[in-house]
Amino acid sequence: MKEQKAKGVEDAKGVSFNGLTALISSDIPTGSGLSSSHSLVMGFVSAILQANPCLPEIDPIALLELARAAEGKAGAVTGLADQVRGHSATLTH
Amino acid sequence: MDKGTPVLASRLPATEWLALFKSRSPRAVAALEAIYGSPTRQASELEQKLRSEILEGRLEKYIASLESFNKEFPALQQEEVVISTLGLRTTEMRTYILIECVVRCPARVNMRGMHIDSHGGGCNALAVSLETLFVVHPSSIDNKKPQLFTIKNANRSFAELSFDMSDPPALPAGYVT
Repeated sequence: MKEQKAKGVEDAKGVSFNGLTALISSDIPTGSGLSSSHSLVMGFVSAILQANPCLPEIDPIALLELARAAEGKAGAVTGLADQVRGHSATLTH
Repeated sequence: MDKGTPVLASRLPATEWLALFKSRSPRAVAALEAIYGSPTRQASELEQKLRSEILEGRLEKYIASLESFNKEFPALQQEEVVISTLGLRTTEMRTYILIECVVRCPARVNMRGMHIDSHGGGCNALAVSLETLFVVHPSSIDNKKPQLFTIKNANRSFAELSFDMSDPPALPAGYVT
């Protein structure tokens, strides 16, 4: 798993990102324990990837780790459960 | 509708998506049922009622989001839109040329407590129907600045964010590197 993560992330480093134009709309109340911040991060990560089809394929778990790291850098220490749920639950809930 | 084609990969001008949602067309309903589920034949009356309410709420949400996008970025409102889900991105979505899209990510509850997974605890999180939607035009709004990110929020209490990755802004104070 760690090798996959490193490979996916390393391949993406140094690639120029296309910009994007977006409007965010959320009905998740902030500070309510419903994981609004992770939803924002995962949505943004997904938007960047959709705007940059030239990016190398990144292992989904590595992507989730990146999202967690992004939240951590912003000051929120989280586990990986929220990101995994956000990524996988959309097709089933 | 061709059942062999992923519903959410359809590319339509934003105005057409809006018309489909507003008229509650079978195509729009099918697109959202693919995400939020549809009642089975065995579903109770209560489940059918709840699912109908969820679907109607999401229809209104998509309409409001697309209308906000058109209002904030009028130059882009005639562009084609793809409604996509986060879960499809890493596999199927790579095969499509995306012109504009809607990205969504749901909220969750965790019956065992908040963020205990970061301390070795177990989780049984489940998604709820509240969510964040991104209506995305996957290009800079400024042709001269291809790496420009312009992000607005339908909630005006959040300020517009704009930055150019070719000249990244300084990291905010307190940012952990």
